[in-house]
Amino acid sequence: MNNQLLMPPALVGALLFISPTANAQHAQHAAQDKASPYEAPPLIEGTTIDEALKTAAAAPPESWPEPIDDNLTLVFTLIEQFEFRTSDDQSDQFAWDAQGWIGNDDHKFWWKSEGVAAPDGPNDGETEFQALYAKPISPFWFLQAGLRYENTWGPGDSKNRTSLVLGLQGLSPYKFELEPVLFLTEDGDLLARLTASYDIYITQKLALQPRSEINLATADNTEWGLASGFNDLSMELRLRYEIRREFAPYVGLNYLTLLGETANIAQQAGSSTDDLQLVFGIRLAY
Amino acid sequence: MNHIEQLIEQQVRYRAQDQTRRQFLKTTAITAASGLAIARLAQAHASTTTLSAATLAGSPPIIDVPTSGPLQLVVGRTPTIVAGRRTESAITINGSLPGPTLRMREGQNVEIHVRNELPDQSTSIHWHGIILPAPMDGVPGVSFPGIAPGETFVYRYQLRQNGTYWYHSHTGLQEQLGHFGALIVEPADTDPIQADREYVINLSDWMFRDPYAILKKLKKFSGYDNYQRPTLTNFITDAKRNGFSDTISQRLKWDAMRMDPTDIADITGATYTYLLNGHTSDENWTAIANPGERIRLRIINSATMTYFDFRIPGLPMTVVAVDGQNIKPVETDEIRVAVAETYDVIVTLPDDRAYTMFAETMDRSGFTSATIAPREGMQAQIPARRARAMRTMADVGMAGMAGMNKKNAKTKPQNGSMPGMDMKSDMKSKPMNAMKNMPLPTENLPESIMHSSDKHGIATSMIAMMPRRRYAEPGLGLGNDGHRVLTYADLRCLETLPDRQAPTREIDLHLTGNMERYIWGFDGLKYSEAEPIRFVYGERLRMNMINDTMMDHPIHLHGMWMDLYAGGNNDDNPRKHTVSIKPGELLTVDISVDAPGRWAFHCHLLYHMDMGMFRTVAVVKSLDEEIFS
Repeated sequence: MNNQLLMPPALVGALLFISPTANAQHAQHAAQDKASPYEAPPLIEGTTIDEALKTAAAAPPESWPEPIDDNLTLVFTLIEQFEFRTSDDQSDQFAWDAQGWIGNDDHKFWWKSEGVAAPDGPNDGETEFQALYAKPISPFWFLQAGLRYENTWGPGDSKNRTSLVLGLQGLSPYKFELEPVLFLTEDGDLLARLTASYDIYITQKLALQPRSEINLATADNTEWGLASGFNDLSMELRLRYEIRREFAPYVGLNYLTLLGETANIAQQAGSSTDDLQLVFGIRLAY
Repeated sequence: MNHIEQLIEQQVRYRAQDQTRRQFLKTTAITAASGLAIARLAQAHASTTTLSAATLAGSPPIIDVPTSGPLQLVVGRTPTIVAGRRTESAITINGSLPGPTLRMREGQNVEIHVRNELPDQSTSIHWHGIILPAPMDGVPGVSFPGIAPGETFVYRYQLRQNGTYWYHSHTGLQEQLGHFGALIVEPADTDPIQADREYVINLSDWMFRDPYAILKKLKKFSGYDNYQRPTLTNFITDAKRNGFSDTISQRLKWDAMRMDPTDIADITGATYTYLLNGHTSDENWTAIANPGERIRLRIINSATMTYFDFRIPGLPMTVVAVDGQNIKPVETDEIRVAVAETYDVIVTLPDDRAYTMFAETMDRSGFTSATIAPREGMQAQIPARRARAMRTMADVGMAGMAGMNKKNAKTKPQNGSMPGMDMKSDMKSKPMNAMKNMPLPTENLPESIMHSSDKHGIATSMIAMMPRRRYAEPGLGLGNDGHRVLTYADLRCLETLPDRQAPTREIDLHLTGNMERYIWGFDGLKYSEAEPIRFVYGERLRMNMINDTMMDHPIHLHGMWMDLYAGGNNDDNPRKHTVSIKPGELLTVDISVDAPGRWAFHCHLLYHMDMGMFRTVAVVKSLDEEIFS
């Protein structure tokens, strides 16, 4: 506590910094020397100002670490839907919609997977998987390009196809999550899809999410039961409770309808063209 | 590797020997002797818990740094009890959290041996606000290579200043886990600030989670830790208060910009436990003060991410120093303490009762408190937390743009005749050749400027269209409580300092970020993408900082002072090591470039720094010199 008594008086004399007159003299003197007008800088023993300036002008030694690591490679997974769907008209379904990425701020491998299956009754279902390279092109948008593989199975034929994918994903003004995407199938058909969703927080943890998806084809494709024009539309509403941001059970309603000529094709095949489903599920993120 | 770097490498390779271990034991003994009364409180607390051998957080020991011979500091992991809960992850210095309070004396030559006993990671100590040789500054990759596990680094420097400072790790996110402490430098002469007693008030934010896990969440989920968002429920409350149409139009404006007006703190009370001298509010740490005594509180914000609003209800505070530098005393009732800032205040108890020292977080998601009272065991009422405020259009740099429609706001004004507006554009760090060595004005600087057309690229989610001076504003959520709030406009240095020439060169620096992806930087670039900023040795440099983000940022320059323009005259501008810049603000500092070497310059919000809001400042001989990239 009393170390001030031990302080060598010589050190007190070194405190020119707080003495305006001493410094003014020093400044004048320094100006003549064309050096810094300020107090002599602190240096480590046995080194000169010139050495310190040269050190600053050069890169630090290779063996030294970076001061920070600002481009982390991360893994993100979002299982937006993992749910059971039930309706009056059709058999119960199990469905999922998930995506994720691995990458840093500049480059990402982005994958998307979705599917629906009816485990009871006639076993049918469909899945698709996209493997994409994604790059940020604006503060809120990613450009994505890659491949999509789809397959469907059921009492009739099972089929699959591969498409080239070019899309955008991001946040629009007014905070809509949008995914406009183009697909060029192996048959040369050009398809388009727009997915939009919006989060309405009712409380800090209870959120209502309207979501919609619309598909469009530019050519008829009898094998896949698609006609040129709008094919189908979904309108969905999910109410989730975020026990944690990463873990949120939900309930919701899905309304699915076929559109235009695509609806007519289904009708002629004896299939229903729309359905209202009650859904229960869980949203997971990692 | 040049001469200086070789010398630094030698400092690192010094290894602990028996002699130094003995010294360590000696200093711990001093420590024990100088413990505060609070140590007894802590012991009482320990006896009531059944937690096995672990150190209690709080009330760090005080170490007088020896005038001859080295001081030993040991960085390691110590099982610690924080807020009554045991944690294995605390990074301690000499076993304590916060680290010991170091007392030094102006003019003293100190020798501090820092040994790293962390088994798995490098460490460092940076002496925040201390003017010292660049290689002693403690920033891995800038000043030195860091201290590897098992190694000791010898810091040697002479104190050229006095006041209240602090020290902390500059490695990774170690500071989040307790690697920080107070550093007090006593004046060589009589202290102009006379007090009967003094206390360090060390504010911090503690988490029981892995800081890197939280950082990853922030990168992946926008607004991950914010539980005070606009919702339908609080829409009703807001509409009742501000009217239905106002509320809806405000919310639509923010949504249109894809911004959240409640985005005030990235990490909130949902994750943090807030501490004062290592204690929670419940532990009621007490500073003893007899009525009539002048008590000096050395308030240090050692938090990694949290701005604290500090007040003592019923007790006015006289602010006498800021960032360790004496100012003309100014009385106030509340101080917003930005991360890494320090404020010294004098308070006097008027009567024989307890008062609460209340530190509320800027986003109002939490608080910590302690007591100042004549005796132990006393307590005053703890105030209720205030409602969290929301950002306004001024925070996106659009105040004063009312009347301009959206289309006009995006284009530059037709001419420069708008009053108080300076039509200069960004100059980055290019020298103004035409005006070289022409002194710049130091008073009545432009109140606002128009942002240049540079939108800083994809790592920047907004720009302040018309950044303006905000040094006289109390800040978000302050100023409406019927009491005084300190602003930068109140700060005037106590004595005119000798280096107050007019600057001859100026650079503009934009603070930028993308909240959606949690990318931070300057001028749209992260550290890893940017070149060092070059200062010229001997110059007087002006830096205009423009905050193009929606958050407050405490910007810290190592090695040199920043003289803050706060509306006064050049002689009075306060000297700071950390300046807090409000959203949409234009803030100017003048710097005497008197310290050769490589220095760090960064946002002191730890996770912003780590995600790119960091630069090396290279103080070089001239701008024409080749520089590394």
